[in-house]
Amino acid sequence: MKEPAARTIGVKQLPIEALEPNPHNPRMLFDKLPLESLKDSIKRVGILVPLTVFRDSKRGCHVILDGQRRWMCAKELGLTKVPVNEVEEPSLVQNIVTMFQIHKLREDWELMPTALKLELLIKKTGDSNNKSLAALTGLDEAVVVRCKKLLSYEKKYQEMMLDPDPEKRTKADFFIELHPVRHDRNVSRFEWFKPVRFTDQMIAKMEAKGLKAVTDFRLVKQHINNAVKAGHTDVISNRLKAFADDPKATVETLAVDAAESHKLAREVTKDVIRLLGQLDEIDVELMYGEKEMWDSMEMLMERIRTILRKADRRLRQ
Amino acid sequence: MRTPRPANTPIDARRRLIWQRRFASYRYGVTEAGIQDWLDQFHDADKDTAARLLDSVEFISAEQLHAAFRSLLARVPGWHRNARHRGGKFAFAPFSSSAGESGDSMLHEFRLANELNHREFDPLFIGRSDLLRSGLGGDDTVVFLDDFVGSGRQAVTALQTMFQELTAQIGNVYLVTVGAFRDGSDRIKEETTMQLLTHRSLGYQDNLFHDDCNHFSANEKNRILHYCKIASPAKPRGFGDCGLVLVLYHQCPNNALAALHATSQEWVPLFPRS
Repeated sequence: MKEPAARTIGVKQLPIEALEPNPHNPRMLFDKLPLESLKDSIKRVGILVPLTVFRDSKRGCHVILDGQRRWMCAKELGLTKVPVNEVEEPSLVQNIVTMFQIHKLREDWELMPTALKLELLIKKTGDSNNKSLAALTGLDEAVVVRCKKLLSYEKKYQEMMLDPDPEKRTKADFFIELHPVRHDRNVSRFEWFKPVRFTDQMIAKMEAKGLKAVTDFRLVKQHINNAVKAGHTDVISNRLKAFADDPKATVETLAVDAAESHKLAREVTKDVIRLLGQLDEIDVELMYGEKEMWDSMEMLMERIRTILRKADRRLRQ
Repeated sequence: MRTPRPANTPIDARRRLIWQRRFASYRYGVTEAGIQDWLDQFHDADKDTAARLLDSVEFISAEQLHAAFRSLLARVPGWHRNARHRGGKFAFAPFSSSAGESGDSMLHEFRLANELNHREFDPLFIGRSDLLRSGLGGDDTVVFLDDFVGSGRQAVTALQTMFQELTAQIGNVYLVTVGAFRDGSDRIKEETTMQLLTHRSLGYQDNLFHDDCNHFSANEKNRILHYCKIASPAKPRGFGDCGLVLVLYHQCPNNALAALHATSQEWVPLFPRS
């Protein structure tokens, strides 16, 4: 094919088949419902905002930087041309950052590819600060932290998270939940503890159903914390070793001194349930001027957020 | 699929010996007793069909696998043993499976087959997690290795949900497999930018249950399906309903019909997968 002598950078019309989706576009999955309403709008008034594209110098095609949904709808509607705003070809890092900013990460997506992209950004920008990375990518700071946890694992585990077979793939959540146990200050001092061996043992335990769910690691961590606080470090070391050595041993075998924290947890749960009931009864119109109540609720919300973050709980927006 | 012997051919010592020799190198070993045990699971009236089913099994030995990998690498554009003569940089990565299973073991076999097992070639062999770290660009090539593509669903989903982002900057992405079923090949071609290179392309005539397969009568197909359902009620025709009778020496693909590889309380396969 003959290469055009010069290209116009700026707004123009391009044949729909001359455009290609951006391979850096995470997962290329779109919700059907918003797509339908976009299609309706394009059918009525056409594409009002041009797609942002660049010419891929290697592949010789135009790649969509922003507007893949508009492009998909236009294709489905049988349009032959679409308005585009052509910009200079971005660098790899610029492209990744743009895609991160445009496409919100979904909860059900595999996190490892995102983590690897983040690793590349850290390497290229030299900035590993969680807040900066969150600002750069538009990812939630908690997601940045989770990605960094995944990157802290040995390569063999990263490979496991990238297995094409969903049945063989070890979910990122497993490694994220295991992380606080694997990196616990007390555990890392136990003489018998070897991070890789321990991780392998936990994978075997998951398969043998010694762990009911990945969230069991939170209980493991809680048992360790309680035992250490009560001065039973040696006891919990031995129990954790036995727990790791026997794939079928369950979390309950780790309980050493959990009575106090269990009691408080039960009380908090009871109070939260009671509070939830009261919140359901609030009529905003009637209580609009109850400043103290609104202030205390804001304070409560802030406190809850802080505690949830400390516990590495994912906060839904 | 191999052409089976005509119906009512005696199941004699010679025929058994042929099966035994052909299948002996399967990873868990196939013995004369094992073949007999497998045949004994069929009713007397169905033994002839069972024997014809064994006749039709296409078994790919280690030698055939290595020969396939040599010819496949020769088909990858830009490849040369000598780095100075290569078109861009190259990397080879396992496509599927955890350590020791198909993708990883295929990579090992591929290295041996192409005599790339010397230390100087180590940097060419990377993991899936190295795809971005490798620094490969628009002029470079990554070759994924796997044993078999069946329905293509898994390969396409994996590519769209994980690998596409990690290989976005790489100019040429190939999936090299020993075998590929037509549905999977078509799907990869239509739904991905990855190019499939395969040694053995299988069509509908290789799907035992398909109308295009005329090696077995309709009644024989029904009887085989009956036993496949005993072996695996959920996927009697194999994953993706491929109905294949292909066995690779290191593993029987899950796209093969269940009576060959699936284990249940009432069924012991001749080619167990694990």
